[in-house]
Amino acid sequence: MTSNIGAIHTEIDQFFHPRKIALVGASADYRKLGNSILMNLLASEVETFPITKNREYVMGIKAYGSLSELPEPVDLVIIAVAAKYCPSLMPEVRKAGARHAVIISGGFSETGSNGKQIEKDLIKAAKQAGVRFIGPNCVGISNSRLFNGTFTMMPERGNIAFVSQSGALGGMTIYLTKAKRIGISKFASIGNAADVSFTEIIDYFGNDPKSTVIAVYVEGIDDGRKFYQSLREAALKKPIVVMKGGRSKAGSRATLSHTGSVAGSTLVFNGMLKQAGCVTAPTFDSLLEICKIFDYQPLPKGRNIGIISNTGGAGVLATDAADDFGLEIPELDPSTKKELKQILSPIASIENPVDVVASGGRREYRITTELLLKDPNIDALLVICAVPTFAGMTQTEHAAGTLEGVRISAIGKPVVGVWLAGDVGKPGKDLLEMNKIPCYDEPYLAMLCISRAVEYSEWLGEHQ
Amino acid sequence: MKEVKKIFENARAEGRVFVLENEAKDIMRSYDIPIPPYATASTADEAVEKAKQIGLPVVLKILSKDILHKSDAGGVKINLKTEDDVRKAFEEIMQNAKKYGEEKGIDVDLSRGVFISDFADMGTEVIIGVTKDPQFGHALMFGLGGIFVEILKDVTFRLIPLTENDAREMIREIKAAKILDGIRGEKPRDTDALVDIIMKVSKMVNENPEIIELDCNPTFVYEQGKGALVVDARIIISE
Repeated sequence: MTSNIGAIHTEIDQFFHPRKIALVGASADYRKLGNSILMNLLASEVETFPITKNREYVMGIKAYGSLSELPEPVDLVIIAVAAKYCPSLMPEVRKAGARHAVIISGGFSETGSNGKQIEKDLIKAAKQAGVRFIGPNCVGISNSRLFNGTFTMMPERGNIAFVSQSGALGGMTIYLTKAKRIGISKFASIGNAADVSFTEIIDYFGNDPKSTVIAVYVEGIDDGRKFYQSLREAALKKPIVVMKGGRSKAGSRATLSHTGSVAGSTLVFNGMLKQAGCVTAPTFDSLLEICKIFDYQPLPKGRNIGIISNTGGAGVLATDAADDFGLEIPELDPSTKKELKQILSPIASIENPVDVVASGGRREYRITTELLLKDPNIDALLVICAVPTFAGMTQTEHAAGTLEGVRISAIGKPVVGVWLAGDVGKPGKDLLEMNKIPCYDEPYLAMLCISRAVEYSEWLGEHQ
Repeated sequence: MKEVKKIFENARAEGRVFVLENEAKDIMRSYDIPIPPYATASTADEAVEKAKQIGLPVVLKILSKDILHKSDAGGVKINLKTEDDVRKAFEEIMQNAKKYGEEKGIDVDLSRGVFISDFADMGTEVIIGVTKDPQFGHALMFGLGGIFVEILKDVTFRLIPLTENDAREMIREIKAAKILDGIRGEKPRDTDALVDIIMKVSKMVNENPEIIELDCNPTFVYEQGKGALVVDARIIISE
């Protein structure tokens, strides 16, 4: 079994580590996908061989009329030509030296019976030729350290492995990575997954040492049990954040029992995810944000959250959100309270959530952060800055104080920020995120992310 | 297990996809799942005799291959406190079943008589069920009974087979979990007994995949240390 798993890992790994890539359907026309992919490949750390019937040179580099004309073997072929040409390309792919292909083209089973037949032919042709392929009908794949084999942009480099069933949503997410300062290690849009399956990609990402978190966008799957097993195996190694699209109802089978009438695939799906140790993202925005807390911060040991704020209102909102997610806002240790009383303003609140009041700046954030992290009653810390500028303070001093407090405490507890005040808070937010403290615009989103980290941590504790 | 297979064979031979209540209870018993004492009786005299052995009060239910929804057929009489009650209930159930058959235009088999069960003390009502999901196969459901399952859909699922951890998580996870901790001065409910039943149902379905739907509804859970009882069990098997 072990050697088999190793073999599968190597097989999928080769998709993500090509040295020489041929692009069938390369184009100089900026309105064509074959052009976007070519541009991306040319900006990658790989040798690119464009295949096109019409020209000798594309984008200034030598092009070839067909795969059989290539001067040297390649190890990956990316295909962006009409569906009907794809099956017959498979033997050519193999002859060109590659065992791996990414088929971007659409027009397969997603379009109806004719396309379904072409997809069947494609599967058969690939099997006969000994070629594994990702797609068809996908955005492509990328490895942020090596190459971008998609028609979307290269994501920020980082540690999140992302597999998406939907092409467009996957591509859109990649654009978000820059804005959200979230780094992707590897991205796979699997489209119709006619050959390489969802589970193979998850198995691979689970074993990939360059990925610390797996993000999954899933709509529907064929072999539910296998999917479950893969998720569970991978979740023992790293956190998995799942967003499920489409709330399917139970099959049309008439049910005779009560349980049957309540069961919808969504409820069973959610239960399966919990059982497999995955956490769910309720919104697209939160998918990457939850990944961020996993990537940036250690896992919390429990569900007791300490809150620091410079206004009472924000602390109240955060407390409400914590309650919604089943998190606790415990009493602080008496010694913590005693020390807080000595350093904070007499009008400050030394009870959790701690309110350092608007006059609390760098020093107050530093000491409060340190004390709360050291408090044995606290498992994770939420630092809120609602009033970033007050009586001559700098825009980043609260963030700087927080970072100092985290460093001085030298305790492996997760810390998350919420910086309000929009653009005025942005410099502080940027400073925190550059130092790997996830910082959100909203206490609710912050608590959501913390709750997922707690959930995974508890699952892991029970299953390791 | 052999006993269980035989029950399924019999059901199929009679063209049933459901098992009779006494058969369902036999299956529960063979997996050591706690159920109230029960018996069957084909005459009123026998019903009285068995009811005395079980101990009054009892519940009588029609036992026929032709009737799945027993209440609809007027085939359920509860809280029967005296021998007279039992005798009268038996006769009424038989008459109702006959009438039900006439209305539906089917010849209802009455030869099996009735199912008799101890009238269990009311506990906190929960439901433990099983469904076969088209994507994921057998999944077990847990929730509080009554409006919690019917209207609020406050239930949770896990794939079978479950671990004990899964079972405990399910019980903690429902929104109404606090009710099991004991509310309004009540003592906490015996959740260990629920974990035990969940694990046994998981084992049962894992060993008998022909079960496609199952309801232990209601299951009564009592205060800590006093266990739980599957009061009514319904099992549907594949054709």
